[in-house]
Amino acid sequence: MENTVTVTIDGITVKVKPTATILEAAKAAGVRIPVLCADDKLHPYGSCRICIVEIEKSPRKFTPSCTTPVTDNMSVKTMTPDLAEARKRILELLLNNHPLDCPICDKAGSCQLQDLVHEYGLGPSKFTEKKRTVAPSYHSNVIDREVSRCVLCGKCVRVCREQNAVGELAFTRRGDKSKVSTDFDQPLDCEFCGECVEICPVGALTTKQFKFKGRTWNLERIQSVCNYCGCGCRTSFETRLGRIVRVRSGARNYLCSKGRFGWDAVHHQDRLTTPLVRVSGELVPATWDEALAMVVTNLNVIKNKKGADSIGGLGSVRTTNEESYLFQKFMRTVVGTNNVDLLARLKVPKGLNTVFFSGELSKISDHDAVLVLDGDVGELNPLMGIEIVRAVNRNYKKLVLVNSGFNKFNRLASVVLDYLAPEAALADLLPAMKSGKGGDRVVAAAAILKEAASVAVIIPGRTTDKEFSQIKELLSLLKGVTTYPIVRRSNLQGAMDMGVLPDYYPGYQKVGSDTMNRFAGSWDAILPEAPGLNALEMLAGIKTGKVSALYIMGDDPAGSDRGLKDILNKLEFLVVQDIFLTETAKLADVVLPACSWAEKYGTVTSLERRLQQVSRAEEPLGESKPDWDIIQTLARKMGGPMHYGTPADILNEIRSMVPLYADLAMGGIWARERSPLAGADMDLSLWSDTVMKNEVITADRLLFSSGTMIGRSREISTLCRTKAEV
Amino acid sequence: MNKLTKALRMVFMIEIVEGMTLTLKTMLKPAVTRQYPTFKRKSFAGSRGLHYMDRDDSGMKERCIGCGLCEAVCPAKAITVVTEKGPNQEKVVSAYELDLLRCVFCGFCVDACPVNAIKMTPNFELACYSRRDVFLTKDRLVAEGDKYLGKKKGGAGK
Repeated sequence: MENTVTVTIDGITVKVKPTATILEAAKAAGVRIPVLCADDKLHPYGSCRICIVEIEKSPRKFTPSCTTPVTDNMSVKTMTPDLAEARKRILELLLNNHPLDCPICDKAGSCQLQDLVHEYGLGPSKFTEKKRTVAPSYHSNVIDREVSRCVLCGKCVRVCREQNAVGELAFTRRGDKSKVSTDFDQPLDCEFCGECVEICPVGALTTKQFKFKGRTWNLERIQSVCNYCGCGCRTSFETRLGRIVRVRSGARNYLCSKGRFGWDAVHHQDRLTTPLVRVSGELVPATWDEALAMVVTNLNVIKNKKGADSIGGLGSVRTTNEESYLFQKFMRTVVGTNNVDLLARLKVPKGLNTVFFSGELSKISDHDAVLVLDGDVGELNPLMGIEIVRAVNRNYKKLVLVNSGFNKFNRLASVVLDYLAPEAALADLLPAMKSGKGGDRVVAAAAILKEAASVAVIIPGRTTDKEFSQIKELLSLLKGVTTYPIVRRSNLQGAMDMGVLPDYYPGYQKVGSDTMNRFAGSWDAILPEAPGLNALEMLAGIKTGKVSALYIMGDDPAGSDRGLKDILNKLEFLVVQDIFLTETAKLADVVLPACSWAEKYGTVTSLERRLQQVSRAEEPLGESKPDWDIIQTLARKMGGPMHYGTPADILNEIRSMVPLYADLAMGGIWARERSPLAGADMDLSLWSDTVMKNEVITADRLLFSSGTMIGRSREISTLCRTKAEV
Repeated sequence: MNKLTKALRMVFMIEIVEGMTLTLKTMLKPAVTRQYPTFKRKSFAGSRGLHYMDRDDSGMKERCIGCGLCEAVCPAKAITVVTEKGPNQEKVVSAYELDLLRCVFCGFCVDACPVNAIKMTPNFELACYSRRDVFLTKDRLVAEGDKYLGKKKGGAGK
């Protein structure tokens, strides 16, 4: 009881925490107070003064509600004639310098200033002075700054510093000359997440991508999920005349540069629009019937000649759960082999889904301390990076950082362990944890971690065997551990859950005689008994002639590792199903055009194991089809019974076959305890010293790179200063 | 008596005479029917017909700034405004399309326009041979404006 105070807002009595502000109390009471500079994401600031209220028995006439904490038995009025008049005058003063170019401003319709002016019914202004005009800044990549429209609320400055810890924007100059700018008015050099554009209450910050593409009230919004990393951020596709013009974050979410600007890859000229077949060495356009007939004939010939196990399937981490499920079902039932795998397993964090299950990202800041074992987390899983910044900046939690370089987390960390590899850091940290011996920093870090009642540990996306055992040992020394493995690939979790693995059926059910009988019964097919070849074994099998045909759905091995070109060239028959004519597709005998994630329905599973829905924002390009439709058509032509009308039918089958998904609601997380692999000390990742060792990435920063898709985003490629091959 | 009058009216065909009198009288009066295609009535002020797009002060291009308010206000969803970024960061109206088959000639677009770019002529004769002709593009709208304003100027005083 002593932890709450009673406040009366407009006659409504609420009990709130003593630390709450009047604005938060009003929100709890369901009373709306108009705001411009306040946002739930940010600390109170109090620059716009729109949120003024009257407090009874206060010597002060008006009090800003966003910065004033409540006191017990406080009585607040949020709307009186005096307040309305005062707010009107404040707005009039704001409009004194704000240009009235609403007809050509991209913010119009969702502009908070416009809404407030309309709400308070301002007429012609008393001020006749000339408006201040400041030259706009168009020289940054991706983001334009119409400085004249700025109302100096400071939201962009604060979101950049408080939420992203980048601090690219700041107030420069003073008095009526003050403006938001960068160091020495240089072009922006930041993460280009676009959060400042999103949070700007007026049209001072706009994106080049959306500039003049449509008015906000004309846009149709389609809720979907970002397809660029494992975080699975909710996004909202905004379309105009059936074409995507903008992507914004879902409610209270965050988007990184890839999520916000990288969608334009779906409009890239490289998109496949018709099936291609190889005729006398050249890929030529063909009809679907011709292309599929060629696949059927060749797969059947090879199957009859060399057996089903000479055919392999490489699944994708970009496709939906339904498509991954159907792909492995196709390989297992129709082709009749367990040779189905993900090449992305080479990039899976060691122990994912067995030792390290991810916690909920939004709960990182609930932990007393955060241990980051990979300083690149902000580039690889930007949302995870934001949650770490939030834990430090908003919830004042301690951060222990292992980082060989210098980035934004170094400024936030309580202790930085500057080691070249996590292995060396852990080698020093472990004895410090056990006996308190070691260097100053290591001891300080160990003290923080020991003191903390709960620790969030960010697990690197790639670890050696030694690091893996070191991390496990470290975790056993900590209290209340939640692990957060870095998962770069978007639907990796979903693809693994759906059993695109040579030795596991969907839901991590080990390939064996009893599970085989169960699946064979449900699928009404004869299943191969032995586990299949994994991705590396398949590549090795091509060299030895054991594997003669490969069906690659939505992956580009030759594009990520040029060395694989020669291996894939040895194949008798290669089918590639992709959205672009990738390096791998150029080697294929048949190329089947799939449609992108913005053009189909389905579900994906994020690294949190959260099931989320992907929705169609555009019509499929050209003759492209959703992957699930291609697979089922192919299956029917090969004599396998697959009749699904919609992805929902497939999801229903998944729910009946995979206990993890049986009663998983949309947006829900499947419990780690239910996984057959929970607690097993084993590893689902693959390791190769040769394959994918020299991965080609298309940018100088990890944040802007992810290969096949982001490399084709025009906006993101403008952010890359150089092309690099790592 | 009543029966007798009736009989006499029948015998002398009074009703026919009355009717023919009206007919003959009307024959001599001037006709009230306007011979529409040949003779056209002067339009009333504020009559709403075919749309046109005004030119800006330079006369080089259309006045429309692409705010899309006409599209927003249109109850029949007849208008589509497509804009894009020009070479000098200005807003360029790349397409302004008006589907006359959908238009209900309410004139809301004219009222909504903040720069008085879209206006209406009194021209209501919109019959045409092709569906393509009822689909007004930006260039056609400007051309209609030139035609209308030119006629208005040239026709003054005549």
